[in-house]
Amino acid sequence: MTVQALSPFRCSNRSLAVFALSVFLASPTLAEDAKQGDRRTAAELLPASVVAYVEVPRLGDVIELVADHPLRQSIQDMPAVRAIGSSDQVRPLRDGIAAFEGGMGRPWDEALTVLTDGGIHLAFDAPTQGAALLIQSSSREQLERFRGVVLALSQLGQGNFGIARQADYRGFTAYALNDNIKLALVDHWFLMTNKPELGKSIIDRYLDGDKHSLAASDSFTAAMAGAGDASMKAYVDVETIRDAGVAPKLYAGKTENVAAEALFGGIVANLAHTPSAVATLDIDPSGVRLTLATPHQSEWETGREYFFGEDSAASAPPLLQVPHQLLAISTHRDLSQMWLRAPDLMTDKANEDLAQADTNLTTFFSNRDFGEDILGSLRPGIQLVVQRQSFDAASPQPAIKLPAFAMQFTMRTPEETTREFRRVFQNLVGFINVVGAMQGQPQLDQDFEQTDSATLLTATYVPPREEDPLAAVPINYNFSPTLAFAGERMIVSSSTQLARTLIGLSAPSESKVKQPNTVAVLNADALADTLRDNKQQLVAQNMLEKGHGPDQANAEIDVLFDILALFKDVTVELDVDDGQLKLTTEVQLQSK
Amino acid sequence: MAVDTKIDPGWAWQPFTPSDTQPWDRSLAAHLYRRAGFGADLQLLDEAVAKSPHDVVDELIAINLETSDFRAVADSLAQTLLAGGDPMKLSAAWVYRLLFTPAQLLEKTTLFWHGHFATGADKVKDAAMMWRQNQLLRRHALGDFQALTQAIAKDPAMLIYLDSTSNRKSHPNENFARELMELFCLGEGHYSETDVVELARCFTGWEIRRDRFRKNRYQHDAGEKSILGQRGAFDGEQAVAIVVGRDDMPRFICRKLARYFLADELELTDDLIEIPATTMRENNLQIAPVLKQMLSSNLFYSSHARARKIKSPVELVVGMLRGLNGTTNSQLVARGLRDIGQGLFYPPNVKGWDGGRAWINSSTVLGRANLFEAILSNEDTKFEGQSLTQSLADHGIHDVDHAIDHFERCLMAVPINPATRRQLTSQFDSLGKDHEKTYRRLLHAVCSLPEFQLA
Amino acid sequence: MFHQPTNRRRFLHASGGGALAIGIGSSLPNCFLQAAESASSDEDRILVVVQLTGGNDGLNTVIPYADDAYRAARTTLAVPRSEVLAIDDHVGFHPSLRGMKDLLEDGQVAVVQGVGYENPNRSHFESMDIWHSCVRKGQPRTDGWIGRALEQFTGADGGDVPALHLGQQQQPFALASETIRVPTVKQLEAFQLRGSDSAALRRLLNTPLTPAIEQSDDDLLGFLQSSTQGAISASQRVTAAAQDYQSDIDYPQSQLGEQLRLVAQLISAGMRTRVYYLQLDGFDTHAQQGDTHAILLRQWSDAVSAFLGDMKARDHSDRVCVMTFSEFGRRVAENASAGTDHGAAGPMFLCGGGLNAGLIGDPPRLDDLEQGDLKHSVDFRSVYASVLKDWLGTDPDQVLRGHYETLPLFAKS
Repeated sequence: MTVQALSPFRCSNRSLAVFALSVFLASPTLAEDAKQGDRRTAAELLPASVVAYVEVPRLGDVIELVADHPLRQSIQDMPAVRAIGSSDQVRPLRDGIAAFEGGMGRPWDEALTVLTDGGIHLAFDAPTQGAALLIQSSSREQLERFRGVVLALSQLGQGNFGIARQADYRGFTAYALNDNIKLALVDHWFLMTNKPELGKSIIDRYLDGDKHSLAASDSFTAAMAGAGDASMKAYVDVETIRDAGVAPKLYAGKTENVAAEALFGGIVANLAHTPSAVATLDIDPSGVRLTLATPHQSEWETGREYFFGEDSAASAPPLLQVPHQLLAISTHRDLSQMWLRAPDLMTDKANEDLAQADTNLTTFFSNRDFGEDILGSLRPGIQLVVQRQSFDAASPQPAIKLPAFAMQFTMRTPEETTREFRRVFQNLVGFINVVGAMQGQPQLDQDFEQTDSATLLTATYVPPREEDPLAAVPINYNFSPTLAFAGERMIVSSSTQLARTLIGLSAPSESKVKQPNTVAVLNADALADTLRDNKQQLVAQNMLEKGHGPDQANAEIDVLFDILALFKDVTVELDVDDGQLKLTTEVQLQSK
Repeated sequence: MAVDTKIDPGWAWQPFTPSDTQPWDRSLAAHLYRRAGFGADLQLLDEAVAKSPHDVVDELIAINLETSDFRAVADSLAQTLLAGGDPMKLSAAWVYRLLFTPAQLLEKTTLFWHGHFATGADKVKDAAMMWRQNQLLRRHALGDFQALTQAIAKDPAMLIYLDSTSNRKSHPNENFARELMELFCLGEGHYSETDVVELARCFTGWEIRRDRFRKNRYQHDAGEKSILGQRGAFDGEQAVAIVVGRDDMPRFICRKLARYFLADELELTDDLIEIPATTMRENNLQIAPVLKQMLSSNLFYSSHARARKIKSPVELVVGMLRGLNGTTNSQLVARGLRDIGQGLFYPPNVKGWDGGRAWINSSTVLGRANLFEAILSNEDTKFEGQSLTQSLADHGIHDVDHAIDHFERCLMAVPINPATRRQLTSQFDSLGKDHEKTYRRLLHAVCSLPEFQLA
Repeated sequence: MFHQPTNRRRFLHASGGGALAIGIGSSLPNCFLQAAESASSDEDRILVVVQLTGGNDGLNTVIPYADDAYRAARTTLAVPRSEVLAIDDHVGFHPSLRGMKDLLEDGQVAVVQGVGYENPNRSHFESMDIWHSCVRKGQPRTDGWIGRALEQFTGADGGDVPALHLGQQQQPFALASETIRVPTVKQLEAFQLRGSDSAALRRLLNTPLTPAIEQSDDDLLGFLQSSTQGAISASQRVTAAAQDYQSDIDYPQSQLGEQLRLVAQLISAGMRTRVYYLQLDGFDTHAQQGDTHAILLRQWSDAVSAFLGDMKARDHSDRVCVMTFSEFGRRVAENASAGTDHGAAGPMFLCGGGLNAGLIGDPPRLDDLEQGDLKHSVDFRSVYASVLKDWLGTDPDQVLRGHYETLPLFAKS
């Protein structure tokens, strides 16, 4: 055997020699010519009762893309990656790769590419509770070697060498990995399953064909057609799973968590009705995009119009754009409606909590009803922006530097609402000052700015009177709460600076084109900068948590920055129209 | 109290000289490090055995200041964490210091003063103030008791804790005056109620404003006072000096030091305690010479003191980690210590921790075992920067029996009861598939034993 | 600081030795046996304190529904006469207090009306401190009334803790003591050995002592061994009690319900803890009081009645008393936000099997107010004094730092 010669890693491990021997022993003799059935797709081999199906059509392309990626070198050059590469922790992985290469007779990436050039397919069948793995390859020789590797690995794991148990079915030999899992080569297919019935039915379909295979399912074919050319696609028969009583709480439609309802309530409503769901993963040099799509009908939205708008018409305002932007979210949520609908949407316990919150909030809002009057005075479009904050040299530098954040709303009746909120803001600042004074907190100083187009109510923490070398500047100095009005826009901001920036942007125009229901973008650069502003804190935290010395802690935190530097941004988008609900998550890499 | 025979004071405080029957070995050195600090690993023990006990004590006293490198790291760690304003973070920073400080006696004595001048963050709330007090205690820990008490009398955290932030001529605040005599310097029965009233007048005008100490000269009662038999128009500093200068004071402090460093339940007769008290007086109330005498004494190395203390939660946990060169999540430890009754910066009340048997009840017995479970199952817990298995292997230990020997040697004041030991060996007989898990469970079991609770 | 050190040690020693003789594990520890023999002695009685934090609106809890002045003062908040759960011709419970009403009819509730103190302080913190310490501002407050009471109990070091605080909140000052530390526990796990090998560890720590270990009377090691065995067997009892804690009683899903269920488990496990302290927060209802107050009252009433039902089913109700208080009541007149502001006197509730059930003291008079607040007719320390003397069997004067007349709250007094 030339196992070791073929391996790029010198692996003098004794178990490897044993392993190579057992590959030899386990490799059965071959091999018939390709058959008629080889032209069938995996879906044609699988029963229609499959409830979950995953397909990776061209693993080779993905391997090539990763191998040739411009960031690959910079990742390999990271000290942390080098340290891991030479550490003991990854020894099992290195040994595993060496064993695989030895068994396949070529480098791992090449072997995987050839082995899977007809696609990898994984399916779960509900009636048999069986899972099946189907790999199709143009190379019968690689398939056979792979079978040898799998059998040998399983024997190695069980410490039990020799010829695996086998049985024949319609001319194909099945080998038992253990009591449950069996594998067989079906011409150019590699088949592995935990249920013999499922395996036999696949072979039957391979030889005989079947009009009622998974490929004949309308919802499956429709879903797969929509998935197009993705690097990975998956299909789930939600209806069957739902009917089987899996995770009943998810479909009950009532949550205890108010924030979760506001964020995901509509998705939960959809899952309670949709027949199926499709996931696709697209990988290209610029990044990774995961799309989850389900059929959608507007009659499923009853009770959650606050989320979808009337007839799925919800259209989020455009994303806000400011310098050093960390995060921006735009969404359509009619919070007033959600608040008033809460008894239908949330559990009794959550509603009791809300009722108590109502008592407290109404106190602040000078006896106006919070759900009806306060939330009701705002249109459903909500824009949130988070910005890395810079502090000018003259003002106190808080020891922990938080980003600034702001929300922009549109008022239905600006005249009235402006007056209302102005008073509430003043009340609130006064209240914070009184409570703060009792707790020895710094005091807020209120001020007022009027520009041509806007009014700003600002509150700034009075700087500490004496500089105390021992006392850190408290976290309060991150905030200069500001309420701003410009036309129909109302801006609630944690910092005056950010509020001024937002005032300067133009008002969102009524878009003719329907926008997504919700969209969010997280920028890695600004996130890294914000974390870097607090590096000392992160290092201290690391020392406490890991028991590291300062140098070791610094090195660990630098790894975090190295990793963040690879990314550009993450975008999440929820699109709903009559027919489809689609949730897209896209991770973009730095293009250097 | 039933300590067998009366202790001869003359013999008790004489320097201990190793002999054939009681040689200076690892076990005695470990006793010294458990008491003067929080424990030592084998290497440190072997280094100690190579020297004389007196040299080791001298060294412990001599490095009464941390190396400037370590001090810079530990200070800046605490400083950085103050930003969040959470005293529990500060508590974790102190745990970090306890785990890594090269100056063990200094830290142990700082902890003593924290219990003596007990001040709780649950009431003071301000982390920065607690940190300043902590630095104050550390600065004076082994130094002049007079200077320490004068400083504590003006410490904002202390005065807030004792509800003594204002003290007006018309309403002298008796709180601090009372505690100064009862808890800090003399003990009950060594002053009268009139002394409290008169002493309080001396502190009039002392107040805390905007987190700072200040003297309000308009509120100071400048009249004549009569304290503890002395008469004069004393101010606060003079009042502290009078209390600290009492003949009773060194006996009171030395008793408390002896209970902390020597034994929980030793009968400390006036005859017996007079000798270290005299040492304190003759050294201008310096603490270091007293500790040196105590930690070098016949009494300290005798059966009256060995294994005669119940480990405090800090000694228990920090001791285990230092003894095996362990590192872990300091925040986990800080929270855990609070749960089992010794939250750093969270003493239970103005009297501090009673210590001794009061550490133990059905809730803390389980709490102690569970804290070790939490620490040993935490993945950030490492020994010599690696797995426990690897660390034991570096000491040539590859089986349960030798591991138990090792734990006994490094961590315990008394050997494990033979029956328990048999049970341990049979329970952990095979190391099983996962050696690391087995060794950690074994250590958890050893740390939970009654024997382990003795210092 | 310890009252009878010699007795304590002898007791512990005997406990360890006795266990050895009869084989520990198969038998109950001595202290538990002693408890069983002398049921219903003072030392056996348990006080559960429930603190309603924020200032409970007493007027809408025990409602003077027949009084027109009530309806006049509470134009929006008055509970309609038809909904009030009438106790007599003058007063009745809030409709949320169904469970409390049933308990009352079962002879298990004493409502003390008009409880407060002179010169009421309307700050939450100050008033709560007064209830906790029994001392006014300006005098030194170093400990709380329960803490001082605990010091009177003759308990043993190394045994079960004399009091427990259950909850996430900061420990109430009432439990502060100069010598006794009361633990705060969040959940049952605090009473159990954790970890995957806890069973083996429990066996190990329960190993009988070998005679080879010398046990002199004040041997610290002997003390540690018997304390460890005591703790392990207490934990076994708690674990066993919790594991098959089948109760026909449905505890409400609220936090207070969960906590009282835990108290019931601990009591059933034979824990020797005398005082349990729990809090229910949220009573500071300045605006839109109606729903919130109804929810909170229901949480309290449902939890307490479930607990007492459970205790009764297990034959503990004669040794358990739940005492409920709040730092103050609220103003008689409602404010413009359909809420109420900080007031003065309010009712206290004692619930359990050993009580003189019914209304105690005079209902507060709405035509005789002091700065718009109800005047108190009973000093809260009189209620404390009765609980201390007639229930816990300690000398109230020392604990309360003064003499207060007791009330006929308990059946035997």
